[in-house]
Amino acid sequence: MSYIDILHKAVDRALEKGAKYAEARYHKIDSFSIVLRNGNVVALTTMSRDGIGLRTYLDGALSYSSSYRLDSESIDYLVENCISSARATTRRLKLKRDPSSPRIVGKANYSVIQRRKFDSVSLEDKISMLKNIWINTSKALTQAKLVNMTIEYQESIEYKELITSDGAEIISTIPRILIQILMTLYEPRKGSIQRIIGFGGSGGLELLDTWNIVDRVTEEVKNLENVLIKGVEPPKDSVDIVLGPELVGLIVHESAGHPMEADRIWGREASQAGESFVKPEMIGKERIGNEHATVVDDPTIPGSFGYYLYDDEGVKARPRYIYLNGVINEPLHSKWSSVLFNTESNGAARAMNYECEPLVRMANTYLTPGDMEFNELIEDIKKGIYIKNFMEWNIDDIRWGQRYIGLECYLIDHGELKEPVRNPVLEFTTKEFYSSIVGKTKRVEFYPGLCGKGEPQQAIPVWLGGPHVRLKKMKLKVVPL
Amino acid sequence: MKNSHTSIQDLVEYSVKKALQEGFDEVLSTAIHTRESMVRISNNVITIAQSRDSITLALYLTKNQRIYFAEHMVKSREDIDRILQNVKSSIQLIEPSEFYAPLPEPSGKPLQGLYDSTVEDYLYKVPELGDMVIAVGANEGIDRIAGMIRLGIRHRVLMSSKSSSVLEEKRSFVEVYTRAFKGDVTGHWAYTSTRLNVEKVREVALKSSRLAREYSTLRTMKIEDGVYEAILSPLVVGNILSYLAMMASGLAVLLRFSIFSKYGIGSQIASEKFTIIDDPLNTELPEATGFDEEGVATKTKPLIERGIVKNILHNSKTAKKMNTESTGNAGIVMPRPWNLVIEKGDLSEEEMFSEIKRGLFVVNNWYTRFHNFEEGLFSTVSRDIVIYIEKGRPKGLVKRVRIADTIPAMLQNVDGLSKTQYDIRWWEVMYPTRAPFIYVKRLHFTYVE
Repeated sequence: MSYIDILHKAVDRALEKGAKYAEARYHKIDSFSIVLRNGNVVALTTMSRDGIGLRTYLDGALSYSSSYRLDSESIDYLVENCISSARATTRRLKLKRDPSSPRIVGKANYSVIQRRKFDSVSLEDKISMLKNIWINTSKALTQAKLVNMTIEYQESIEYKELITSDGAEIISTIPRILIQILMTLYEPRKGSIQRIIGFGGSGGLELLDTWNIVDRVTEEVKNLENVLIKGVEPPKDSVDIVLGPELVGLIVHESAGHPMEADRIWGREASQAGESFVKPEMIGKERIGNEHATVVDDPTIPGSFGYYLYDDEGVKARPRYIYLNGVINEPLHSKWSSVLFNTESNGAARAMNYECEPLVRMANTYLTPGDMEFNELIEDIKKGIYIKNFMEWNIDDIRWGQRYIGLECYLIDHGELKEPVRNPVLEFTTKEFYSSIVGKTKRVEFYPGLCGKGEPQQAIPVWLGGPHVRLKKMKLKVVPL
Repeated sequence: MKNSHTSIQDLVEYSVKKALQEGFDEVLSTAIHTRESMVRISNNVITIAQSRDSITLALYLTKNQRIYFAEHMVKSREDIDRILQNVKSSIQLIEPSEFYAPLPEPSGKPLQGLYDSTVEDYLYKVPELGDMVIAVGANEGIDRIAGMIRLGIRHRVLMSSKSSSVLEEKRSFVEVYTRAFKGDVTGHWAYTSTRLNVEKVREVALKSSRLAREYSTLRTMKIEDGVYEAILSPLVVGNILSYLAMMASGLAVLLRFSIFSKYGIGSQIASEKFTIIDDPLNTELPEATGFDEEGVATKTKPLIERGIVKNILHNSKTAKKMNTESTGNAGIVMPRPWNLVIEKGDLSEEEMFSEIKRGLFVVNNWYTRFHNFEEGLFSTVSRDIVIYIEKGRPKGLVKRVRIADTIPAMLQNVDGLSKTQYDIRWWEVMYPTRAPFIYVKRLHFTYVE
């Protein structure tokens, strides 16, 4: 069923009632999950959420109303409610112009194709595939025990219809798969080690063929056992640092993507996700790192978890060069934020579901690759540490000071990976990180995430990625155990 | 807005009846209708006024000890018919669940006193409260204020195939938080309740503004990584202990993603001065309820009493798995706490400060993450002011320090609590929490310049 006529009606009514800009979105997300613990199915779940959201801009007042009801009377009420909320708002932010952006919005109907459709494989076969992860990994251990492995396998389809008063008409269908695995390995003398692994992308069951899950998880489990049993303390003096793509992806998401969200730079997330060390006058001028520091956010990567071609304001998506050759370059923008910064939206407005307004969000954020192989990256390191992945991390609310604790880590001794290391702690500032990169490998790897922001809190699918990265010498910290 | 009462009760009753007709062994149906209004504030303006109207229907269905959980936006009986047909074709294809337990008899009763009609009256006047908050900030001489005010009504109806009658509760809720800026010195405060008291909303803005203003003249200083005495505000206490309470869920324990899988019932995990209670019967706090998500009667219980672990939170499934009784904390999937109360102490807030020899007062924090849940190894970053105190006097402001310690070490070092308590919930505090200020005599901090 199409809701385009209803959406047009809502937008037209809002304009009739005085709105200078209006957008209406029907938004539906259906998902199906299988949950297993230690190889046994715990439960199946389905979730479905759909409704209409209307956002209006009226003389400085922005308002958003949503409803699960789709009948004509309810739409009238939705419009009335949205406009009356706007009128009741006296402390407004009057923009220099309304957020309309007719030059950059589009009309499109696009779908991510499932080359192998979700229903092309039986439920029994999917369960069997998931059980295989447990069967192979649990028997791979020789000293520690895999005391818990919880797997959640989720298929979802996000369907949207969007109409805006500046001419956008977008229909999109994006299927996704997300697999999250929680593991605890335990050995009585050494205690436990825990890991959360994710696989995610947009598309159909063909994604499973590319992820090679059983082999990757089995190898990880064996490596974690090695860290648990044989892990030594991190070196105390300054050493060369090599980071794996999973950690690099997280670092650039936290310290490039987030601080370059324009609404955050203006202060709109001040009491929620925080502000930014980036000030408007730094854009295009301020150096944040060296020539290796180029970070891109690109919604258009085929198969990506954060994939889209038009954002939730109807603006055509394109890659954004957030940091370019070490310079703070291009913030992520929505229509609203672009007016504040006297520029145009670059298509970064996304909403989690029909109950939420579109906010400035990342899509697929990555550090650009270099020209080295991994062995070239480490061959001249006399003493160093390779931090492949992590568990604990955090960053402050202006995205400057950050901390990461390595999980699977190894000493590097004269260009070779040696003993495993337990719990090395990295703490650095954003500038320190981007100024310390001395080498990058050729290949970028991506990992899925659900990124949080806004109020109500919105969790949005994203990819985080990067190559292996070598940093110049740094001192590590230790955990307080 | 239309009254939803008849429709959601009908959806629940119909879904139970129809599921049994379709051959399911057991069904538990819960419908929740939420109406909510909110304003967000930044830089002394309301950046958006938002409202939502939603109904979800959650169905828990079993057949031969196989479990299916479906949560949908349901608008009609036909929607329910479609869901049941879909579930029916899949549930036979899976194996009996290790977590299966027979649905319990619904022993709970609706809790009275959860609904305040003033909230309903103000539901479409929330921008007025936003204006008031902004005016308070201006009067207090701060540069700018940000925050959020949320008012809502939630109507919940539950029916189990173990009973012929429905359980229902209607509640109101209020959540307010503000962050005030004086230069780059910031204060933050929060409030939550089932009732609207406009004066309390004003107090949130006042408190955050005064924290920013009163300490804005202190010099900014650096600290070395290491162990300090600490005073944690109710916001910090609420944040860290919400993770503790989440880990008290029986499912988290079974999945070994919990400190309580290492520190079981009877373990001394905290100092004798520390008691934390799950308090579903406190009608001032918004998650109060007389029946859990399986219809079982809720009860007030300590999670940790005088430092000893007393209770793990259970639904019927985790209880069976761990050979005990439900604690009235279902979560259909994951047992959950309702409202948290940290017992108060006997210190005034001024006394807590005056007795610090070398320590830090942390107003607010965020981004709490665990490296190992069983060990309770975590860190969290301060936001807003952190005051370095020497010999009872504030000596300077430290920006964005990290608490990096273990939960047991932190709790073992709790050595004083204020006699004042505050009802809070905000972006970083998951559950409504009544918390005092807490004095920790040894806590690890790290600092990145």
